[in-house]
Amino acid sequence: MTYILDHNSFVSDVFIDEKISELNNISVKIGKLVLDKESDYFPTRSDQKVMRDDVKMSIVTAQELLKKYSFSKKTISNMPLFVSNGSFFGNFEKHLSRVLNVFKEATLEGSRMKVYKKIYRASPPLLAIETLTNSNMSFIAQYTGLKGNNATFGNTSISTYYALKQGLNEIKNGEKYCWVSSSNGANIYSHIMNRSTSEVELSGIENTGGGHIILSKNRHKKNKVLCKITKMINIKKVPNLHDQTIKRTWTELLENSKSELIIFSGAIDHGVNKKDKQYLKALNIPTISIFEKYGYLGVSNLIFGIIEGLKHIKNGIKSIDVIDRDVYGRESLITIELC
Amino acid sequence: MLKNKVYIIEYEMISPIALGKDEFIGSIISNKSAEQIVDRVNTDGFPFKKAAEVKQDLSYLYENEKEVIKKASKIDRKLELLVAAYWKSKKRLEPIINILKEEETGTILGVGSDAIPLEFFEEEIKNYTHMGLDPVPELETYLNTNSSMINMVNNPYDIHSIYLAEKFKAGAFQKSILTACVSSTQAIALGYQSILNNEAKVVIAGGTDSLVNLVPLTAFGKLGVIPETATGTECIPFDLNRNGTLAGEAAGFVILASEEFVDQNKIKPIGQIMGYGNSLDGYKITAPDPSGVSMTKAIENALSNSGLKSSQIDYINAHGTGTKHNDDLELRCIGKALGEEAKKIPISSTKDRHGHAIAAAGIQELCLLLELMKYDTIPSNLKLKSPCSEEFNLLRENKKKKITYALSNNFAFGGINTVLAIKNERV
Repeated sequence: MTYILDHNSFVSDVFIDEKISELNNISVKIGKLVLDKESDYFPTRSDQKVMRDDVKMSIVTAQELLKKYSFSKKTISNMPLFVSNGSFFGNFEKHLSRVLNVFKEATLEGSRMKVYKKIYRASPPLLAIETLTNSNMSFIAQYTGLKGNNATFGNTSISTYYALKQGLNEIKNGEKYCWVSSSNGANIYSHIMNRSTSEVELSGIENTGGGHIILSKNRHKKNKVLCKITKMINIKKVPNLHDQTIKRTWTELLENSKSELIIFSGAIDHGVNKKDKQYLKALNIPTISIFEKYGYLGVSNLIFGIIEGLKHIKNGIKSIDVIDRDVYGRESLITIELC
Repeated sequence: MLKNKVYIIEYEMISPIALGKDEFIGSIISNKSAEQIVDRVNTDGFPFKKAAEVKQDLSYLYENEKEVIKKASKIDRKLELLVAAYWKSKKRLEPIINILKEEETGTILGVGSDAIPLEFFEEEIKNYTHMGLDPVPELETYLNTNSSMINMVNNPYDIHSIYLAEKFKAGAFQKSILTACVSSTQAIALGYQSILNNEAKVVIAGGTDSLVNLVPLTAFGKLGVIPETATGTECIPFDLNRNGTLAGEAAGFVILASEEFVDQNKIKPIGQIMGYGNSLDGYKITAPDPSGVSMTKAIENALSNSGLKSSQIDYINAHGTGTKHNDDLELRCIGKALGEEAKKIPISSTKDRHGHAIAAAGIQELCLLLELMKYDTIPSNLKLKSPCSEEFNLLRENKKKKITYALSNNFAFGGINTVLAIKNERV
């Protein structure tokens, strides 16, 4: 059996309107993080330079969580770490503004050699590190000491299902603990990436947030575990890359479910969320929408679904299904139960 | 308890030295290096001019592909390389594809960081900028306006694993691993693991990446890991005078299958994944841990998880990037992990031949290793003149030798260490 020992998370509640395309009149609401710069766990100044904001808060919350437990150094360094990650560009313009300016001025220059020389000079020296896809995982390792089996999955919301599944397998194969993290950075690039793969009827709402979950093989001696994970399943069908229509088949996953509550996610806008809600209404089980609480959290949808579920388990609900659909229509289910 | 076996039953690769796996061995024996002046990006004005690029036009390989994929492949090089790798092997793989079951087959690919090829759209960027608009979002929105789930640029990274899933009818999962230079090595390791964990009976594992694009090429150049050819230095793994790596590109995959699948379908396996080691440095984002503790542990774990002794290893295909940071440390860690035996084992890096394909490094080097096993050949460190260590068997000439067991090392930015232990099943 796999238990959830504990968790910690961060999410934005400050939203701003971002124009994506003036010409196509497309905009999106984006959740911007307020950074906890006063935290003792805030990363060092040199590391901050190459971190996205979501990674900075991921590092703070990871250390806060680890500090609650007196794991031995050996336990920490052997602990597996599986991460899911969303968009990797914090701010594309910021990174490449000087390069883009070279292009802008290129008409004035006669020689291509001069243009490319300027581009090379204008490129930021740490761009490769700033956009490193495993940045969150490597910084978690650096700040916490977790050094075991690892991977970063990405970058649609099902990645967290895969990271958690890998975590459960580690526990099944004998590990005492496993750390699973997600970090989603919302920005105009994540929305450009997501919007054409899924139905977006109204303006999208994307949010920045992430979290950490410690999985445990045993009910901890000193600390009570929060719940057990009793089921993880996904729809085993190949997504159709040539059809954008959402086909809701969550009921296949929910067959024989005994849960008292369903927590769902997947929508990027209110129009799709409404249809998801309508679809689930037929099951006659109370539902909670993660989109309605936080907006679209991408890879962090499932982590926040589980964290939401834990609040209700604390209040006595025995079994909860946490379901998600990624932008390619891939559906997954995680059942958590009181223990 | 004996663990189940996970076999490699097929593989395919598009590499700067081989347009398909069958071309690998000829390139190795003839000591071909793909290091040449870059065509696809204008490097006039750059302090380096060379990279390992797939020079051939690949579009003929996938001329029967859907129009939207063909169009996207013209812009997204990672997608093009993968699409070409699939079409290269399509006919040969049909008998296997026909026996796969959707719910028992998965895909897992290591994928490199996304970068819009700005150089293709210089005019558009200028126009949008002169109109007072943010050029890149406007351009991306324009390019992605179609009625398909396939973006022309800025696709979710899973597009690659879903593309292969569509071809192989792989419904169990479609995963993407995003861990820089170990991405495809981890994809193979986790593909192996998912078969052992009964998540699938067959997994198509591999990766795709290209550094031959304006943004990544400048980014890696500015980071100081690409040697400045103007000064006369090249990518020379394990040499005292090494100065950096050779930017590359590649895509490929192996088909991993459970023992049960292989037995039921009477398939003769090519290789076996014996096990892997995988660890994190937790040191610094910009440099490997100089103590090498975690790197050593990854090599040790690859051996112990495979039930192998160091004396059984016939060859180590090293990560050997040719950078100052990596090569000395890698040798030290091999020495610590394998003990005295390490000094006898032939070691070479092949990156001076095919370049560093970052997220596709692991799959390129595994496919190459499988060909080396087939032809009993161990490649030399092609350009090595002054070895950084005399203690190790750093090959200076290609060697004929049977390889039964080999290690394939890859290490990534941010301190991730992944090592595969492979058995030759053709022996």
